[in-house]
Amino acid sequence: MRKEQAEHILRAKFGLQHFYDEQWEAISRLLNGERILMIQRTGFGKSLVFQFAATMLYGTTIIFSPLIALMREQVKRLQAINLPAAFINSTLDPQEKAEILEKAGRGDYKLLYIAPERQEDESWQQVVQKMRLAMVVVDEAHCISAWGHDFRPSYRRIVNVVKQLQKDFPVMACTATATKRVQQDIEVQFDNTKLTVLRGSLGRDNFSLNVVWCENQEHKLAALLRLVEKIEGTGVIYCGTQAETETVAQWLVQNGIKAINYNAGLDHGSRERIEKAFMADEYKCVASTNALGMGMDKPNIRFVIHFQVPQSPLHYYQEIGRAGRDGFSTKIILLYAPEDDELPLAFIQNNRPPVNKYQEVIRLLMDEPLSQFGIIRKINLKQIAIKVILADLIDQGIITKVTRGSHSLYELKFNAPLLDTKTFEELRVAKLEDFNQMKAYIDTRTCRMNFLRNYLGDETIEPCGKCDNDRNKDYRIRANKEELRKIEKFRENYFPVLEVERKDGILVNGIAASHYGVTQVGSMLHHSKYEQGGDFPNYLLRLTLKAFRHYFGKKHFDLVMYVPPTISGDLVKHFAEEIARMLGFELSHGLKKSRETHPQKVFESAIGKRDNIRDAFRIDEDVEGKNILLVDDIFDSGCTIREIAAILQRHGAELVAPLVIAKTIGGR
Amino acid sequence: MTENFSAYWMAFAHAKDFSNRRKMEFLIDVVYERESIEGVMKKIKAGDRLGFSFTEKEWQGIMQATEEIPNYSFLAEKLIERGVEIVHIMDKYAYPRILKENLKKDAPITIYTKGNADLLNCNSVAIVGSRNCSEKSLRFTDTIAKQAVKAKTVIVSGFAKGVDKQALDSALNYKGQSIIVLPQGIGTYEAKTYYSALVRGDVLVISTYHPQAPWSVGLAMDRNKIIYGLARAVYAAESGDSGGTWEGVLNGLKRGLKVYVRLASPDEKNANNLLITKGALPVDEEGKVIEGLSIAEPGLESEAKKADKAKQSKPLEQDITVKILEELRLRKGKGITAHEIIELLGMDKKSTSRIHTLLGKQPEIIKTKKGRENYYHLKEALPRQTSIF
Repeated sequence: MRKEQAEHILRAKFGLQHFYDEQWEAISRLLNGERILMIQRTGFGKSLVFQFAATMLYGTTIIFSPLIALMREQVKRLQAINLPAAFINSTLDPQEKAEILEKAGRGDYKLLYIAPERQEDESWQQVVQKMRLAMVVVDEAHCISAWGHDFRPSYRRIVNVVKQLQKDFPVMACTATATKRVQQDIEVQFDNTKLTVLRGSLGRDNFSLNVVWCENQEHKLAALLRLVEKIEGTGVIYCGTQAETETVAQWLVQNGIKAINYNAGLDHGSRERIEKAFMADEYKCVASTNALGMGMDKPNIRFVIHFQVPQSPLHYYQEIGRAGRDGFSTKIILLYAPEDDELPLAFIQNNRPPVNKYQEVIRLLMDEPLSQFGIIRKINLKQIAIKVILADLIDQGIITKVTRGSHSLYELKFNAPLLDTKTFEELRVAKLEDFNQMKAYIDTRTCRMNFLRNYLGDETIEPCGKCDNDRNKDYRIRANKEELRKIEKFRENYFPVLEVERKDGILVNGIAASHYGVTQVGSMLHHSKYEQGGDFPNYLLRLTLKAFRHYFGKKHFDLVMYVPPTISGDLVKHFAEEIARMLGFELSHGLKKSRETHPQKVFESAIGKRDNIRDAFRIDEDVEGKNILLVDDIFDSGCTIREIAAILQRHGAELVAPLVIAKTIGGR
Repeated sequence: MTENFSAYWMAFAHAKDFSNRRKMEFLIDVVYERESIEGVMKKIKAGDRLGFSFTEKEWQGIMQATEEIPNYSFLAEKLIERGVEIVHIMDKYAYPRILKENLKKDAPITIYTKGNADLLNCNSVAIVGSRNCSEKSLRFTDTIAKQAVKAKTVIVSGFAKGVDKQALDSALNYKGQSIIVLPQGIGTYEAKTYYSALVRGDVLVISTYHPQAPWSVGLAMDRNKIIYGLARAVYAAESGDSGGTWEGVLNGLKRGLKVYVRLASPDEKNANNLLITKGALPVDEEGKVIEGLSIAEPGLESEAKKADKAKQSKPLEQDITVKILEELRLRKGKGITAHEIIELLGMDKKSTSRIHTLLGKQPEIIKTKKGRENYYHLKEALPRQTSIF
C-alpha cells in the first residue's frame, strides 16, 4: 500500500490528514509482517500507528496495556469512529466480560485491549484459542524491563507469547520512556527476532524544567503554596507517600486552593471520581502518589510539581510526561530539600524482602502447591513482599503459577535452579546509580531537558532555552516568619481522616489526632504502651478531642465503645473513659474479646491481621439502633475496626465511627 | 525454556484430517534434514505443496494449521508457564528414542511432559490391568513394582483406577520413579496428590494429545499404545476379554513386545490365561516366568473357557481362535486356509469372511498368499526370558 492510498483511508476513517514519516514507516513495516519497537514521546501518535494498521489487517489486533484509563479512553474514541473495539480488564463486571469475550471469540472486534495480567485468565485463554489474530501490540513496553522505572512481572508472559509467534507475524512494542539500556533489554527479551527500533526525539518543547531548593519540609510547604497560587491552570503535585498526599492536599485546601489527594489507598470509585473531576478542571491540583497520571489523558495539565524527589530520571521523565500534551507552555518544578533523599534511598535499599524469606517460600512449596493467600498465612510478610518474592521466583524459573478458573496455585518446578541473588544485588546497585543520576539532574548547571534526553539515549545538543539553567536562574525559596507560623498552626490542626467507609456497611469515615511518626504523638504513645509510661498523657487526650470536634463537630453518639486490648492493659479503656466523660457520651465496656489474639502489628499482611481477629470479639451490650463512637489508640490496616463494625452491624447498631490517636503512614 | 518453534509443531501435530502416519511420511519426505518446520509452514501458507501428495482434506487441514500458529503461540506460552515441556519428534535429544523405536510411524508428533523428563531415558516397565481388579492383581502389581524399583527401573502406568494407581503408588512407596501416561490433554491435568513426587523428580507426566483435550474413552484406549511404546516390557496384572488392557496386550504382542501376564488360578474370573494362549508370557505371582507351560494344557484351556463364559462376550470367536492356534502349533509352521478351518471346526460354509476378519486381528498370526488362496501361519515363537530385571 502506498502512503497516498493510506492517507486517503486515514482521512475517511480517522478524520486526520497526514501521517508523520515515522508513523508511516512503522505502519508499512507492520503491514509487511515485521516487528517494531517504537520509542516516541507522549502525544506523538503511537496509538494511531497500530490502530490504523489494525484496520488494514484481517482479524483482531490484541493490545496489551496496563493503563485502565487509557484503554477506556481509546476504546471510546475508536467506537466513535465506528471501529469495533473493546477492552478487558479488572473494571468489568463478570457479565460484561463474558459478553466481550463471546464477541471477541466470534471475531467481532478489530481491536481488543487487554491488561497483561489477564493472560492468567482461563476464559481469556479459551477465547484467544478461537480468535483469528492479526497483530499483537505491547503498549508501555518499558514494563518488560527490570531496568526500567515500572517493571511489571505480568509482562513476562507477554514476552513469552511473542517469542512463540511466527517471525512474520506483526508485533508492535511501544513506549515513551526507555533508556538505551531498557531498549536493549526489550530487544534481547524478544530474542532471535528482527526487531526494528524506531526511536524518535523524546524532547518536550513546551516544558520549562526547574528545580527549587528548600531547607526542609516546612519551607517546601511554603514554596508549594506560593507556586500553586502563582501558576495558572491545573496541575499535579507528586508526593512520596500516601500520608504526604493527604497533608499536602489539606495544606492547600486550608489556604483556599481547590486541591484533593489521590493515591492507591483510595477505593476504585473515589479514584475514578477524582480523575473525572480533574479532567473537567474542577480541581486546581491533585496531590498524588505516582498512582496517578498513568494513562490519564488530560491534555491541559499546566504544571507538575514534585514535592518529593523521584527515584530516577526515568521515573521523573515518566511522571512529568503526561503534562502539557496540548503543546502549550507547561511548568515542571522539582522542590528539593536534602532530607528528601531518605525516602527513595529507603525504597531502593528495601526493594526486596530478605533472602531467607525467599528460601522459606521455596521450602513451603516443596510439599504442596499453595495460593498466594496460603503462602501469606504461613509466612508472616506483607502481601506486597510476598508478591515480589513470587514474581522473582517465577522470573528465575523456580516456581510456576497454575491458574484454574479463578483459583491460582504456585508450584515448585522440578529441577528448579538455585535462587540467584546476584541479580537482586545488581539491580540494587543499578537503582542506586539511577538515583545518583537524579541527584545529578538536581545539581546540573546545564540544560535540564538535554540532561533528561541524554539520559534516555537521545543524541541531542541544542539547549531547550526554557529551563532554569538556560535562563540563568537559581531558585531557592525560604519561608518567611508568617508562613512558618501558618504552617505550625496547620500542623497542630491537621487531622488524618480514616477512610474506612464501604458501600453497604454501617462503618463511616473517622478521624485520627495525628499521623504516627510525624509528630511527637508517636513517641508519647510508645512511651505509654511499651515503656510502662502510664496512661496516655493529657496532651493526647486534648489533641484527640480536638480532632473529634474538627471532624464530627457537634455530632451526637449514643455510645462510646473501645477496642479491648491485647497486651497494653487498660490504656485504651482509661482513654475511652476520659473521651466519653469529656464529650458527655455514655461509655460501654460491652465490647469484649471472645478469645486470645496477638498484637495486630506482628502480622505483616492484611490476611494475617484478618485471621488474627476474625470472630475474636463479642458484644455484651444492647447496641440496637445506636450510633457508636469506636475508640482505639493506633489505626493501621483498619482490619480490627472493620471486624468490630461487622459484629456491631449484626447486633443491629446504626452507625460506627472510629476515633483514634494516631494513624500509621501508608506507602506509595 | 523450550525452543521457539513449539507453536509451529503444535499446529502441525494437531492439524485436522491429516493422520499421524501421513504426517510422519510428510516429515520424512519433506522436513527431515532439508527444511525447518518454520520454513515449511511458511511455504505451505504461501500455497506450496512441497511435492508432497497431500489429499485435498489433508491440504485443507494443514493450511488451516498455518493460520493457527498465533493461537498455538498463546497456548504454548500458557503450557510452558505451567512447567510443561513441549517436545517434537525431530528433537533428537529430548524426544524419547524408545517411543520412536517402538511406535515408528505411530509415534506422536509432539509430546507434552511435566516433571523429570530424564525418566524417559531410563530402563522402564509398564504395569497394566483393569480398573476393577482383584486383590490378587493389586498384590501382583505391588510385587512387580517393588522388583522394578529394586532394579532401578521406571514404572510406566496409565493413571486410571485399579492396577494403574497401584503401580504408581507402589513405585513411589518403594521410593522408585514413575511415568504417568495421561488419557487426556496435559492442560486438563491437575497435579495434586503426586505434587511433591513430581517436584522431587520421581514422577513424569506425559500426554500426547491436544493439550486441551478432555478425558475420553477413545483417548484412554489410544493411550495404551503410548504406555507400550514407552516400556521395554509390559506386565499385565489382570485383563478382561475386551477393553483397554485386552486390546493393549494384543497390540503389544502384535508389535513384538514382551508381555508378561499373571497366570490366573482356576477360581479367577478374568481373561489372563486367554492372553497367554495368544502368546503372552505367563508369570507367577512373583513375576517369574513359568517355563514349559503348554497352551494345550487342559486345565488352562478350560480356565480360559470359563472366563469366556463368565463374561458372555464373543465366546465363539475366542473358542475358534484358541482352536485355530492349537491347530497351527501342531502344524509347526505350515499354514492353513480358511476353508480348511471351516472343515476342521465343522462351521458354516459361508463363514470364510468371518474367519478372515477374526484371524486378521490376531497378533500371533500372519497371512501369506499362495496363488488365489490365503494361508494363515503362526508367527515364530517369541524368545523367552526369565526376567527382564
